[in-house]
Amino acid sequence: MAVLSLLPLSTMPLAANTGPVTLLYQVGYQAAGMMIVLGALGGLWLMVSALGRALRLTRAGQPPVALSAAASSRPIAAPLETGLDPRLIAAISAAIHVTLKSRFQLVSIQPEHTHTPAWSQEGRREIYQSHRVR
Amino acid sequence: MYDNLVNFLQLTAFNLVTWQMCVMWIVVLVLFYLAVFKEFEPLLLVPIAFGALIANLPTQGVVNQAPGPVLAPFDARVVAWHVQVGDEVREGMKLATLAPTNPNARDEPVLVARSHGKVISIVAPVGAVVLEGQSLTEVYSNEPGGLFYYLSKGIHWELFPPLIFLGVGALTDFGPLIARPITLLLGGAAQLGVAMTFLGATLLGFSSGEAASIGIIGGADGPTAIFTANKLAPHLLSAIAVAAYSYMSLVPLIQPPIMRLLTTKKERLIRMKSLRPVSKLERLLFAVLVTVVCILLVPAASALIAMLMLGNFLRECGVTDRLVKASQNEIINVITIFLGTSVGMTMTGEAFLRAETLKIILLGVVAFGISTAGGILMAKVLNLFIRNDRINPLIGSAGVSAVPMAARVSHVEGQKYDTGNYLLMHAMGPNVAGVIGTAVIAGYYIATLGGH
Repeated sequence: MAVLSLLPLSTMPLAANTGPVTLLYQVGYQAAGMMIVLGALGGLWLMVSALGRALRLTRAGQPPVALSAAASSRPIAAPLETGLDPRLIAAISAAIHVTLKSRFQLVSIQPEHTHTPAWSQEGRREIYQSHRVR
Repeated sequence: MYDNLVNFLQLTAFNLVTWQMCVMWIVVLVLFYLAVFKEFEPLLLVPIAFGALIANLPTQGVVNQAPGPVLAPFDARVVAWHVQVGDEVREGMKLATLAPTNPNARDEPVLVARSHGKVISIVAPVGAVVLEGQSLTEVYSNEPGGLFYYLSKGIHWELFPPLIFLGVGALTDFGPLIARPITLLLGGAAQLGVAMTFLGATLLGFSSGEAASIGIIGGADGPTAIFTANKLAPHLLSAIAVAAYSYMSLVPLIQPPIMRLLTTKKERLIRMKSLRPVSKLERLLFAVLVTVVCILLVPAASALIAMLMLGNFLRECGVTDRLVKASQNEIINVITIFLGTSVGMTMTGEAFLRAETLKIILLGVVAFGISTAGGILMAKVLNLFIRNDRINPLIGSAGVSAVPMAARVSHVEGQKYDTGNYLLMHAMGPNVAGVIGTAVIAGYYIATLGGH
């Protein structure tokens, strides 16, 4: 390695190096580069982990969602009274959650009794979808 | 009539076709074939190939510079002038002969005109020593520069790569990375190919700036490769861009043998736990955190990091739908056409048909291979310290950016050994971490070598 380090490798000296650029110097230069990359990403790993943990702890300290007496008595019991398949209720709840991206209360589920042709319904759906959900 | 025909033939460009152009037409056909029939990164390779075709035709009004001062391309001494004040010059005409003051430089000694017009003054007389960028002579004309003269400013002024990154940020879901941030280290380790290829390139005689630009091919990130090459080795831009995009499309062929070589069957069967959901607030804070940390650490990569994270913040904040859609579609698509054709325009026969191009293409595949290995080996090292929820080393290979192709390769390889093992989302973590890692190492090279 000592012999190799004597070989001049580059015609263009590196910024921090005033002497001839040797293999040993280049290896050190690359090692420093990898340390910086791993240091930066490792630092981000620690920060992102800490951030995620802190946010989860903050949420854990909050009161459970929709467990107040008033809320728990109505919406949970209501769907069961409809006689609908619980899996259907779960699928509808998931679709609402994905669309609204916020907390909601499912009050009732009603089948759509309409004589409108399916193509017209699809057109209306697309028009409404082009606007923001408020 | 005969005279008219002869006069017309003298006005055609057939006599301006050179052998280098003919060879480049074959290269262009190969690129078209790969892009159109083999679908190798067609969104980039088609504009690049078409730009290369235009660059290798004796065009008029396409690439000529705007008239004005003719600047010294490198530090040099003026040996002779081939024009006088008052002469009409056209694109490609010899203006002067220069002798580089750096004896090791490999620059072309002949200065040719890049614009049409009349020579109105010669600033540096014979024998004068000029520095790079210093005015040598002045050409005047009423004609403006060509279309691609102005479009290529998007590369020279480093506008296109950061704008592409805006779209990339708007398209990228950092959720899997935030859910399992340890995969950031896989993206970091995959930069090993960049560092090792730098060393290989210096051993092959490339200068440090050239070696850094070639090494970045291993990051599998086209815009970063172009950004770095433009800063450190603009004369190699076309070869580096073509190698980077070609190898990115070859990821499904290059990576699997290395993945199989470096992992045991038991490791390939590791099932990773489902990723936790990541809240909107966490995503927004992540974008801000990455921006601040990376820019403070490597300010030279600010433009790339800032635009990447701006695009991502627009995506995650949920209140800028129109801007996100513009970034994900119109902006990135328009810039891709301009970037591709501008890169292609640099592929002139004189610049591309060199031994260096072959070396760059060879070094590029080495860079990809070592980067793949770096990510896999880092996953194996991390598994030595992880007791629960070990990392499937196959996702380490996704640390080379090439989003999302490298992640798909990890998933497909995993499914070959366990059809119920879904690695795709796990692999997206190192995959997007690779984008950040490549920008950081590019910033390191630009900061340390940029002055030279």
